[in-house]
Amino acid sequence: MCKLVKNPVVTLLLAAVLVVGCTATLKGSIALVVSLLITLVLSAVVLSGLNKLLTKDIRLLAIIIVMVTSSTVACLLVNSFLPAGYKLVSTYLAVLAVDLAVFVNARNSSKLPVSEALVNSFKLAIYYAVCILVVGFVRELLGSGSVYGYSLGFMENIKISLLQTSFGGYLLLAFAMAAVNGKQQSQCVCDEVFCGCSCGKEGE
Amino acid sequence: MENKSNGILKISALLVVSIAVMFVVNLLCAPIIEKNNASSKFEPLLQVMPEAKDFEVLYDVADGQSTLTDVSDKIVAVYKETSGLGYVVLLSTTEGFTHEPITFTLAFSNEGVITNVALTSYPESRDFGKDYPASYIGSDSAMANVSLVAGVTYSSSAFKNATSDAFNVLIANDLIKAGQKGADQILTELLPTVFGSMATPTGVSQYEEFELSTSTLYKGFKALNDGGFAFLAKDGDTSVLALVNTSNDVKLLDVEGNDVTDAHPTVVSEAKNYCADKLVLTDGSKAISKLAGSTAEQISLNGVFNSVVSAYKVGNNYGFVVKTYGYGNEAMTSYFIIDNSGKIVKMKVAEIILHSDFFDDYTLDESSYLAGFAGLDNGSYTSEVSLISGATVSSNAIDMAAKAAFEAFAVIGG
Repeated sequence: MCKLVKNPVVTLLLAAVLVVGCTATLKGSIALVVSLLITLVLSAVVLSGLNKLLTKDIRLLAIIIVMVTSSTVACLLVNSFLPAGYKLVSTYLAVLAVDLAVFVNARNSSKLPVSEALVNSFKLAIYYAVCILVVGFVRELLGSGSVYGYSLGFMENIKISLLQTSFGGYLLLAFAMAAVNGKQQSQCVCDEVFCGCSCGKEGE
Repeated sequence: MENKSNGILKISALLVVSIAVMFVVNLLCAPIIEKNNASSKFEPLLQVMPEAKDFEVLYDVADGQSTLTDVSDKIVAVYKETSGLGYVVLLSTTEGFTHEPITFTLAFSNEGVITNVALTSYPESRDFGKDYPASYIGSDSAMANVSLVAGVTYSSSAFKNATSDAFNVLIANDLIKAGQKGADQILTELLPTVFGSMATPTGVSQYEEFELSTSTLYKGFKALNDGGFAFLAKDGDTSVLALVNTSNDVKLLDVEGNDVTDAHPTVVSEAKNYCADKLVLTDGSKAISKLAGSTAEQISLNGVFNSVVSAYKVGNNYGFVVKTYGYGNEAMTSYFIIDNSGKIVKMKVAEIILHSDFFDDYTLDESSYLAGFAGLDNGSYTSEVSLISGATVSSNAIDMAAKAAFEAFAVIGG
């Protein structure tokens, strides 16, 4: 539960662009979560499978190629099966190809067995999903007085349209970070998820 | 060196596989994405016809090509539902008060009845109510149960006229059958064309409806400019329209617009009795006397059924007080002095530009404008004489007033 709350978005600000850009509505948030899941899992599995073939020289290049391919496949699948959500966030989903969160997961997965990489990717996707969906739900509810596009009459007079803008997204993310981190200094979510991440340790 | 070549080979192979994977996924997803895009194009249509399977485009204003005829400029697109549910028409009209586009979608059954309405854009300053568009559901092209909304006549008229155009395009192209209008509807639609006090120069109705019950009269209309009354009446099997002017003179018209006054004395008598104590007499004697420079004596308006509300004899000349509907549908009062030969001696308008404190986007030299009417008779007068640059509505109201004055002279003095 602790890891669900202290996830990479609010502790390390990873995927912040996506969270701010895609969470204006719950529909968009769901499209982002699905895209992220596909990208994370696909890139992790492929790179993990190519583990033995990739030498140090070409590892980075291979990671980039696999990330771009995974994000493209994710975008195509989301566009096909979640068209309404895709329309809301299509501009931002391309960022998945260069997202640091995806990159770090892909890099770490390239050194792990396939099963472990798969599990880690799923866990990471869930951590992101919690944060993204919560922010998306709150932004849509308070910003446009609706949930998943269904208008709530009682919210009509108290909605805060500012939350629908980028500024509103950053504001909510900042509140989430403050709530989670509190007075403590931010910590890396390491161990199971980000093995060897650089919080005082030197990673590869 | 060998390691480097191996590395390049592996990366190249990975690149080729990646491209192949993206190609295959794109191949599989492309038809689904295309179908989704097509569905989103038809989303406004599905709003009014949710059970529709697919649509065939019969007309699209963006295309420029069409198999349909008699398509008015208010029609944006016409679609035929492919499984036989009917037709959907997208409309956009700028005839409302703000002249900004009011856009809406209508669904029609094959029997020519409106089955659904969706208002997509309404930029008007006054709301005609959520229920107004829904009141069209179930109507055929006669639109018998549809009326205008009091106080929002421009917007509701714009909506009604655009709907009428939608019916016309479907009927003209034999896609649906025309509805049958009842006698009441025919007579009510006749009213603005035969009694000038009941409508603006553009034909928008300006009356207050009320119910009444006598042996022949069952519905009444009171002109908003106090120019008289009208009634729907039924004498035996015959439906007639009774017009009553400010002199309590009555004229009866049948559904074809023929004068049938002599054929229905009971209706005439009941209409006169009803109006005897309700007619508002506009006393323009002082204004006419001042304009003519001599005493005015009121005379009857027998036979005059237009916007003239009172008439006077001023020496050898005639004075007419005319009330037409100007800006914001407010009544504008004009005074005409016409000599024995039918020429205008003088004319005056109580307030040429209404609300001039808030509206100054026009060009007018009042004294020369009014002087321009002098010496003109019905033959030499043209609408250009009453034209005020930048004030079209006021110009039309004065034009209608001048023509009404000439018409009244032809009946009374001619």
